[in-house]
Amino acid sequence: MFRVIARPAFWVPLAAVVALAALVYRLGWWQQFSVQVVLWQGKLYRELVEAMTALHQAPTLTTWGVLLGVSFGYGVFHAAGPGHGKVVLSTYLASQGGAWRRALGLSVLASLLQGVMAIAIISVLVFGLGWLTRQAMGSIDQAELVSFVVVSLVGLWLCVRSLRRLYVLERLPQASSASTEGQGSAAVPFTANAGSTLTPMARSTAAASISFSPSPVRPLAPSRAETPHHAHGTGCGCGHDHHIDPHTASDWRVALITVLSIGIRPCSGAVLLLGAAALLDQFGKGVVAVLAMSLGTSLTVSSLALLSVFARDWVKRHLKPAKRPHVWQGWIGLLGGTLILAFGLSLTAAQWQQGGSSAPPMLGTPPSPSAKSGGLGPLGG
Amino acid sequence: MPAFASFMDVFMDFALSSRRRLAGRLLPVLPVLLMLGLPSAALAHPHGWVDVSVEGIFDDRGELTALRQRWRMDPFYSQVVMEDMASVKDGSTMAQRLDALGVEIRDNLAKENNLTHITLDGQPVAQGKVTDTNTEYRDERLVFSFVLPLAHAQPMAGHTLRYRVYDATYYIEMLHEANADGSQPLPDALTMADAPAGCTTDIVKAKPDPEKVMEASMIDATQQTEPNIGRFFAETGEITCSG
Repeated sequence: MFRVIARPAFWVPLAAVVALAALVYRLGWWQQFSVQVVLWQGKLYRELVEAMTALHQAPTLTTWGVLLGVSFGYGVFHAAGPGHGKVVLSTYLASQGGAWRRALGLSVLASLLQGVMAIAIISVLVFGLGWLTRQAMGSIDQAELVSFVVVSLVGLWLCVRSLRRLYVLERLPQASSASTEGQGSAAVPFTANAGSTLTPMARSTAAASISFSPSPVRPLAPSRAETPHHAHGTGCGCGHDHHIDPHTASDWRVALITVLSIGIRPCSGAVLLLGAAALLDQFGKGVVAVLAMSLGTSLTVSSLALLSVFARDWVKRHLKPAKRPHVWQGWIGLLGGTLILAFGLSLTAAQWQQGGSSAPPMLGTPPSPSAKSGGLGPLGG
Repeated sequence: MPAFASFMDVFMDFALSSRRRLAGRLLPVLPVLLMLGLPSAALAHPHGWVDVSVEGIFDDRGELTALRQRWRMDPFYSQVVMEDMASVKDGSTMAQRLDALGVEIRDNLAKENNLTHITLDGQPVAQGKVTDTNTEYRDERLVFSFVLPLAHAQPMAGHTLRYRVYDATYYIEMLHEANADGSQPLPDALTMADAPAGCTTDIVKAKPDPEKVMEASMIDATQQTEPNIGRFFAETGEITCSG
């Protein structure tokens, strides 16, 4: 039912990328770079603290510039470290579609939201409710748990949505699927075999034909599987929304919740910076620095997001299902949703176990400073 | 004085809310991360630092008896801890609170080998109980100092003693006091008291082997354990006496 459109233009670059990656790993360049990034992160953190102190002592144009520059750089490299946000966003983009503009928008939104959350935590908890900075930092744990739960919900939602679409597609009359490419094998009774579409490769081998699809044969139905990087007709306005997508509204809702799931957990570095700035009576400067940091973060995150969109489109261009791209897209969407759901659940479970003993403090009554969260660390506790 | 926690607890809170735990949970998606080219996917990195200085103390027989250490916490942590200290409302003086803090830190550190690892000619050296703790707030930095005795006074003639001070998780970077750009340790960072003639000191910078660091961080990630890469980034202090 699926035909692989395979040509050297697909396999040669793929092989080249894989070979290059293997080489970079074998030669130890990847490891070297990783360790270098860690060293930079440590150095940038020191410089951040120093820049804040310098600005505190002498607020000149230079000290302002240094603080903004260092904050931005800290954001760039900090985002290169471990974090669930990038995984969720990349998986979402790779499996659910969306043009580069959306990838860019979502990355920037998520990064900015992280900064805004840090500002909100310090504003509300420290200034509003009179918590100590370190207690406010403890609340990141709760924000993290909420974030993981929302990630799970996003995954669940994506799964349900994909299943619903697949179900609807299965109920469609055969004719609509026949309108897509690959007329030659229309006799394959795929309606009865919907479950087996998970192994499209096997079936494509069975079809025993490799179709060099002529690009003019475009799906007539609105197709999200084909969106970016498509060949445009001459009369096309080339806005990427010229396919009327009935799911657009629901897409944007999920997209925004995805952003929320990522951004709701503030960067601990940002909270620390703001807390220290507040203690130095420099909260305003701290806010500016955190926003610069968020911009830096968004640079890294959006690069990764664009990379995953690019990779997805490239694969799609070359490896397209001969039949029913909707169904194909549905299964990919389901796979992505399942991955995000599993990821969210495992993070939630781990967080639940580790942070189980630190119940969310009652609002208005700062928790006892001696109350500790579950885990033990190297420095005691 | 249980009303406030030690700043080591503060470190812990930061540590607990940090991304380093995330590293251990990223296992299911590790291949995805690698695919995405996330360079340091499984690597923790420091979120605070301590400037360390050490003094080797000799007795009148010329044997090394202890390492006196001074740890200066970074300005941000110092701020946050001092806010905590100031919030205590039990009528104690700040000096009393700092003393109590020092006791807590000492007890916490005792569980962790005082974050100090000592060898003599490559063989591990046992430590005694920490004494003479002192905690003060000076130049906007929280300073904790203590004496770490060796379990047995150590004749040094013809021997080299090496120590390393580090947080295994690398959440806190611990380096000797250094010049402004961090390129050279200060002469004061490692000194000796009452040392016999012929004894010299040296501070050897860390040269983390990227292969080993990544290997270790992968093991941490797959076994969902705390990061254990601090050792790779630790400096080594050396005291050598001629025979």
